[in-house]
Amino acid sequence: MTARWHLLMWPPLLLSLALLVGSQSIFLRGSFFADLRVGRLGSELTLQNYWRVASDGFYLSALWLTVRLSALVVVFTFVLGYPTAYILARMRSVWAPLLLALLVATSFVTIVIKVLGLVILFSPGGLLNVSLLWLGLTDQPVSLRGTEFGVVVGLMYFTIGFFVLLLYGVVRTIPRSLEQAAQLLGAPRWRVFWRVVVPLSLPGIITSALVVFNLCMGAFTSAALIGAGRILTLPVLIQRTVMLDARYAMGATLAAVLLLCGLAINLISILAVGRLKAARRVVA
Amino acid sequence: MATVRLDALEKRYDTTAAVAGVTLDIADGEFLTLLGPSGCGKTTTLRMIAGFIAPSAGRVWIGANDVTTQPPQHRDVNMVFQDYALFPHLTVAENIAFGLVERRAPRAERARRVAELLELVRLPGHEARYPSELSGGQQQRVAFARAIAHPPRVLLMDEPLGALDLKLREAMQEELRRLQRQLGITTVYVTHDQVEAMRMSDRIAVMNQGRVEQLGTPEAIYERPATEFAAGFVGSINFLKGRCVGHEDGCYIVETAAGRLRADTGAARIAGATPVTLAVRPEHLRLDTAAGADGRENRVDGQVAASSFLGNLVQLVVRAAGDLELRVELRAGDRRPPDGATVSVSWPTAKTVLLPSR
Repeated sequence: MTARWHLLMWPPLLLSLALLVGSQSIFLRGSFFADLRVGRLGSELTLQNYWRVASDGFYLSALWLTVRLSALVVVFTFVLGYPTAYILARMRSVWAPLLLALLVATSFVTIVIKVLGLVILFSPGGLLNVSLLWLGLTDQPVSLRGTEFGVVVGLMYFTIGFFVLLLYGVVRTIPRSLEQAAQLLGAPRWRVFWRVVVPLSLPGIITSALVVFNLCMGAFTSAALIGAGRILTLPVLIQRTVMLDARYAMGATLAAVLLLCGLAINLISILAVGRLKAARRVVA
Repeated sequence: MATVRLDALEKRYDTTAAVAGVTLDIADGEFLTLLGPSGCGKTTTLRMIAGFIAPSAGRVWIGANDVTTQPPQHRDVNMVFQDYALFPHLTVAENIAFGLVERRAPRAERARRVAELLELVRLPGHEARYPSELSGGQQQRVAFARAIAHPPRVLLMDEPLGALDLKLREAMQEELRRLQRQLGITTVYVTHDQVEAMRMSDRIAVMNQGRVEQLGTPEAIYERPATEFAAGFVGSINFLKGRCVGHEDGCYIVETAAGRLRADTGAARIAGATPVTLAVRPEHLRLDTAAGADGRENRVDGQVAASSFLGNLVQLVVRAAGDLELRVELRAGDRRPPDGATVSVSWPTAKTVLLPSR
C-alpha cells in the first residue's frame, strides 16, 4: 500500500486558497458596483469605475509612476546586485559564506526599520547632509523624503538582498571550467562575462528581475514613508482611497488594475524570454 | 608548436606542498603524460602551465618565453577539460569558432575552419547541434576540435577520457594519438590510468606526492623502474626486500628471506650492506622442475597458494620461505600445477631490478 502523504497537503492548501480567493474576490467584486462614497456600494453591476480609471489622467499617471519606479528599481538593483552576486559566488575566500549570511540577515530586517534608518541618515541634521554641507558639495540639505529618487533608494534597500541571493544560486550552477575554457580561447575577463556568464545566467536574471519588479509594484511601506504623501504610487493610492476616503469600490478597482498590469507585464516578459534562443538552450 | 620547460615548479597551500619542485623539459611535438594517483600534483602542475594556478616558486617557459606571470589568455595554450567544458548555449560550430571570434577571424574563414575541423574529428554535418544532443565521445571530439581551432603552442589535456566507458575510451585513445601525431602539437596529458599513459605517450612522468619519481619512455619505466613507487604504479610487480651484501660478476648479491638472489648492476650504484628491494615483473617468472640454474638465473622454491584463469594467461600466487608471496603469470597453454604443489620459480637476473629501499 502506498502512503497517501499528499492528503496532508490539502488542509493548508485549502486554507490558504480560502483566505486568498475568498477575501480577494469579495474585495474585487466591489469594483463592479458604483461607488457611493462613505463605504457604500451601488446595487447594479457596472464598469463605470474602470472607465473612470482609464479616462482620469490622475489614476493613469499613478499607474505609470508605479511601473516606472519599479522598472528603475529593477535596473539599479541589477547594476549593483549582479556583480555582487557574481563575485560572492566565485569567491574562494572563507569570508564568502559570512558575507552572504550578512546579506541575507539584512534582507530579513523589517523594511520599517531600514526606511527609518534612511530617513535619519538623510535628515537635514543627519550625518550625510552635515558631511555634504561641510565638504561644500551642496549648499542645501539633500532630502530623500518626498522624492522619486528617495523612493527608489528605499525600494532597493528592500530588493537587493533577494536579488543577490537568487543570482548567487544561479551563478553557482555555472561550472568554473566554462569560464576557464573561454579564457584559454583568448577571451579577456569582460568577454568571458559577456559571452559565457551572462547568457548562461539569463533565465535566472529574468526571473530574479521579475521578482524584484513584483515586490516593487506591491510595495507600500517604502513609498508611503519616504514618499511622504508626495509620491503617489498605486499601492499608496489604494490605501488612501480605502482608508482615508472610504471609497471601497474605487480602491478595489485600483487594486484590480494593479493586479492585471502586474500579471500582463510578467506574462509578456516570460513569453519574450521564451523566444530567446540562448535562454531556451540553458533551460533545456 | 613549442617546447615547454618547467623549472623547479612549486605550489604550496599553507603547510602542504601540492607540487614540490617539478623540473621537466618537454620537446617540440612531444606527447608527455603526467601519471600518478589522485593528489600527486599532476593536475596542479597542468593548471600552472595553463595559468589558472600561480606557482609558489619556479618558472614556466613556453618556447623562449617565460610565461609564469602571464594570464591564461596570453599564453597561447589550450586545454581539453575533464568535463569537456563545452558551452551549453552555443552550437557545435559556435563552440569550435569561439576562439576564432575572439581573434577576429572573418566569418567565411571561421566557417571553413569549423568544417575542416569537424572533418578531422569525424563529425561532419554536426555544426548546428547543441552539446546536450551529443554522446560523450562526440562531446569529447568537439572539445578537442575547439582546443585546436586556433592551433595552440601547447595542448593540455586533463583526464579527457575519464568519463567514457572502456571500449570508447580505447577508441578515443587511438584517435587522440593519431590526431596529435598528425598535427604535431606539443601535448601534456594528465591521467591516473597507467595503460592509457603507456599506450599514448612518447614519455611518461610518474608523479607521487608532488614530485616526479621517474621520467622516461613507457618501455624504460616498465622495464627499468627507478623507484618502488614507479615500479608498483605501472603494471604489477613482485618486491623482495633484502640487504645488498656484495658485488660479483656484474651482479649485485642480495640476501633476502628467500635466500641469496642476484640482480644485474644496471645503472644503480650501491655501496656496502644497504637495505634494498628487488623487483621483478610476474611475466618474467617461470616454473620449472629441472634444476638447470646457472649464474644468470634466480631461483626460489615454494608452494602454489592460489591460481586464477584469465583467458590469455594464468595467474599464480606462490608462497615461499619467509612469508614471501610471488605473483607468477603463465601463458594459458603452459602446464598449470595444482594448488599446494611444490614448485620452483626462476627468473633471469637481467630482468631483476634493484631499487633503493624506501
